[in-house]
Amino acid sequence: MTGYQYWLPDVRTIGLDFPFDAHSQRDGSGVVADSLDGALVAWVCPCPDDDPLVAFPSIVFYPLVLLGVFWIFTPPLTTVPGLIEIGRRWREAAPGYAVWLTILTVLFYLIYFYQGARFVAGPATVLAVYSGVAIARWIERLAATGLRREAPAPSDAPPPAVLAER
Amino acid sequence: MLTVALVHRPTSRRALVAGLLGGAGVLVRLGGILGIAAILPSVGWRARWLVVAASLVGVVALGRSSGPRSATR
Repeated sequence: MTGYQYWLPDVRTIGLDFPFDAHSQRDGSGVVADSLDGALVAWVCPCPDDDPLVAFPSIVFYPLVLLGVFWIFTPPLTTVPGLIEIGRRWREAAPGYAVWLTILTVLFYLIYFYQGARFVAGPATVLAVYSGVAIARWIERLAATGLRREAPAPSDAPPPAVLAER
Repeated sequence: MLTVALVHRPTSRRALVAGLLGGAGVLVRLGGILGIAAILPSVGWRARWLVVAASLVGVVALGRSSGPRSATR
């Protein structure tokens, strides 16, 4: 028996209506606080308890958390490079794991009776790591193209024999 | 994050450790099962079996720890 079965014997834990339910049970900012205090989603208020974190149904809430709109785990849009990186390399083992972890976690907690940003802490962290990887790759690529531009192309330089004649 | 590093080049030993970590995650929180499920499609068949076998340690430990209490209630 788990704690859920013991303490909440009558609760319906899984339901296909939960993703769209704006009034399901939820953490709000009391458990995992948002650094921006809902500044980017202020348009959604007036909201219950003046807390924008409780104003969204799960189907909107989890993507917003993963994109960092609330700045709970990452600053806004910081995970976008990570999403692009794992999307490009999803056939490799580690990016594949990140893709599946994100998809499975979001899908499961969409239909779960309780909403909390802490549930997606794992995917958010992994996406932040891959954002770092993506940015490092982009900088490497930029540096490589910059170096290639600076170095004279071999066809442009006159052959040594021509130089000797001059 | 440790699982990402272990899965990056999944040797047998790393798959075992990833499975054990996943099992430990289940002990902490049932949702940890998603972490194990996420490893499975991203590695080969051999690593897949090793991950499942190693993670069962945590799952069985969870069953044993919650079993006697449920029997008494």
